[in-house]
Amino acid sequence: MQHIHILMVDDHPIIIEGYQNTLMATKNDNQTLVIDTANTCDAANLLMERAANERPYDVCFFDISLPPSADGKITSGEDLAKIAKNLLPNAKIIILTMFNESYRIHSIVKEINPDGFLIKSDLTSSELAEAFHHILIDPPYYSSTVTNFLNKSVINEIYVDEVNRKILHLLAQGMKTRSLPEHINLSMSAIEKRKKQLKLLFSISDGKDESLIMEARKKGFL
Amino acid sequence: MRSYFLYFFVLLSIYANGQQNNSISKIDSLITLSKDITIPLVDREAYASVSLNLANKLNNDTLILKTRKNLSLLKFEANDYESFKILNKVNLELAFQLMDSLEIASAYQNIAQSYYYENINDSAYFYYSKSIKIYDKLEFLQSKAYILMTISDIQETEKDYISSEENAISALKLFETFSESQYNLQQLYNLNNLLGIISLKLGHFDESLDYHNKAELVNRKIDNGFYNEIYTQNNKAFVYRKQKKYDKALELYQGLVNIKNDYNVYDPTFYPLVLDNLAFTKFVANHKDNDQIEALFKEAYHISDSLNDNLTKLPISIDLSKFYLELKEKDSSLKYVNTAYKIAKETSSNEILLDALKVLSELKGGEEGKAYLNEHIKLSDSLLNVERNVRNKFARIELETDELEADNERMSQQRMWLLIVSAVLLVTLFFLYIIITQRAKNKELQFEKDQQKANEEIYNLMLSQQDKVDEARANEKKRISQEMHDGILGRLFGTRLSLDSLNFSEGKEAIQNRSNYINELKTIEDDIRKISHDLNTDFVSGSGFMDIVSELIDKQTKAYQLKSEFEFTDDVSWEMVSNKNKINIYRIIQEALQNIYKHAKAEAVKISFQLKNNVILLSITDDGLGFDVNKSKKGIGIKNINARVNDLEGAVNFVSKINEGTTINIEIPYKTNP
Repeated sequence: MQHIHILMVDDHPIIIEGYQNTLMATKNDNQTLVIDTANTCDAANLLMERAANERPYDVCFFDISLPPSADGKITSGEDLAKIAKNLLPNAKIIILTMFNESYRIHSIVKEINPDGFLIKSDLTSSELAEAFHHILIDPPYYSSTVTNFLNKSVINEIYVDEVNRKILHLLAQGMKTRSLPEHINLSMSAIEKRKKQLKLLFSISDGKDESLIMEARKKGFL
Repeated sequence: MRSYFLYFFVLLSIYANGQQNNSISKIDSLITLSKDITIPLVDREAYASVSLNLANKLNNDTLILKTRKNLSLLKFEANDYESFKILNKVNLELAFQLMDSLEIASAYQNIAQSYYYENINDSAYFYYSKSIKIYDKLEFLQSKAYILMTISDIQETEKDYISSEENAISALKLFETFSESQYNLQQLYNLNNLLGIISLKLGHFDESLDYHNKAELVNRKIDNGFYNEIYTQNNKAFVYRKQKKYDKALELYQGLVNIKNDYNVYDPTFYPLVLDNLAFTKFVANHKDNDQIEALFKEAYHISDSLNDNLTKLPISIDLSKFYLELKEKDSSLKYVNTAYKIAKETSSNEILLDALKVLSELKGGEEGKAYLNEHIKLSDSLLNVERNVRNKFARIELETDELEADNERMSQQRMWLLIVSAVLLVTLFFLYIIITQRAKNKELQFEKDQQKANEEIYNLMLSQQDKVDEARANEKKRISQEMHDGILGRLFGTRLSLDSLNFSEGKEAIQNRSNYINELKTIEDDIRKISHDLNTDFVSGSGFMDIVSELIDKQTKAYQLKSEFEFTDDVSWEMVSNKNKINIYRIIQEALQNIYKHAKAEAVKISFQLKNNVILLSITDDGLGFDVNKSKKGIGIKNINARVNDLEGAVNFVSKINEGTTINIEIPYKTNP
């Protein structure tokens, strides 16, 4: 009998229910799934701390966008994943997220290097089941969308560093340049300079932010 | 400017030169002709008249002056003193216009001359004094000396001997400095002779003799000095007689009698006078040969009688009467004294008249004699008065001329001051005007600038309002996106996943579970509908122009501690109204609120916007003091409101009564931007 200790973190109970239903329905007969669930960062953190002392989790499911913890130290699934890596070094970490933007995917892969990376929007229960079993035996498992994104930017000759990616990302979200310094630890002039470089890099002749975003999206940076 | 005029005149003169030169030369030749003494005087006068007419035609004042003077001199030559005088008086005016001092002096002199020849001595004196003042200033010494001499002569005639002597000496001194021309020598002789006569009248016999001797000396240098010589002899003899140096007098008279033939043809009156003097001198010298003396007198009388010259007859008859009176031949004496009396009265020879009266009183005696004596005294008194008056008159004329001069000076000085003061005043006024207009302009500029600034503020306010709206919209979009992403998408994903997993199981339980998830789908549907509804309604509030106005009213009335009520209609799409109009409306409300606060002392104010027949009706009502709409002088606030309503092409109506508050109704055409 194989006991698998699982932690599922998502702010929507119905999603956790969906995970549970899928896993329960598709588990091997020799597997016993013990599932803890948490809807908030604080709850998840508490569970992980307790599990580290008693019985560590084998698999952790983390959603990315979560309401931040009460003390504000943990703001997303990424932070929880980092804590899990620390507290539970043997746990397999699976990230499940709605985000399907290149920048986020890149940054998550780079920061956490999860054992599983699934995009909710194109996830089916069979894929979830497959991913679960695959990860238990031979991690990692990245969904096709993620693989596509990663491949695309590798092919690309243009190198865009982390900060520039973030600038592109924020601009694509409709943020105005003048409010960028609130999100990036750079001065206004430095941001302007980078924007100029980006426009040069993407060969934008009309100097419009809109054209820059379109071009970046076309090239797979967004 | 000046050079421009100069240029103009040069042009003009070039243009007119040909014709003018012709006329000028003609005038010159006419003047030369008129001066030609070989031509009869009448013709010369005609030439002069023609030249004057020509000059008049040319309208050349200098030429007119010259030709008229020439004509006047010809009139003088023709003894037409009246015309001479009138022509010179006209010339005097012209000379004044031309400011030609020399011509003024000349005209004065000529006028004086005419009066002098007409024996109107006071007028002559008056004009001579004017003339001499100018000559003195111009340092025309020759003319000055001549006039001094003439004045002296006038004064001598009028018995103002002291002044006469003074002027004669001045003239003499001047003539002595001149060259020894025959003319100047003659004048020197005349002056010395005159001074000799004056000194005699003043009783200075030695002085008188001195002058006559001097006259004699001067006369030696004169080419035709014979008559001067004999007259001086006569005068000297007269002085000697007065000095009671009868021998010397007699010697001179005798000498003159002896050369009778040398002068009798030319001056026949002189000989009888010399004879009379000789006889009278012998008589007063108490020569006993009365028969001889009588014979001399008689001869003199006869000659004078035959000459029919009263002026010669007069002294001879009075002398004869005196002679006969001394001889006590009363009848003869009476006969001659009557003749003398008659002639003296006719010719106003007052001195001889006095003598005659004296003789008469002695001859008649008694009442008649007394009457003559009284007449004598009366005449002598009146003569004294006349003399005194004449002296006073001359002094007065002198004084008047001086005063006139001083007056002129004072007047010209006053005029100068007036000119300076008015110039200064003018300049001051000019500067004042500039300063005032500049200040007004500055004020206007400042006002415009302020207005501009205010408009800008409102515009910025509206812009920032727009920004706020945009931001709110963006935030709302973000919120909805977030809600969709995190909420609905998540739940939909969870439901899908669960339903998907239910495919693995069958049975009643599964069906139950499925229906649960399908219900969940329903709630998600509702949520989506809700979000969709949210998107549909204008979620942004506090966005429009009315909100800005509302904020203005709130802020303003709060500051003024007024109760306010604001009503507006949503029928007006303010975003379609031009910014300029919105700014104007905003300012009108601001201005009206300020007025209400400043003047109305109101407690509450009501503002409303309505839309009727495509006209925006703005009404502002307060419950304050109100004012008389017709009487009130329009303040700057009302003026501003009017100006802005005009700018909006709208209409404004003030409704107010004292103590019943004020309502401002403004109609603004609702024009939307295309």
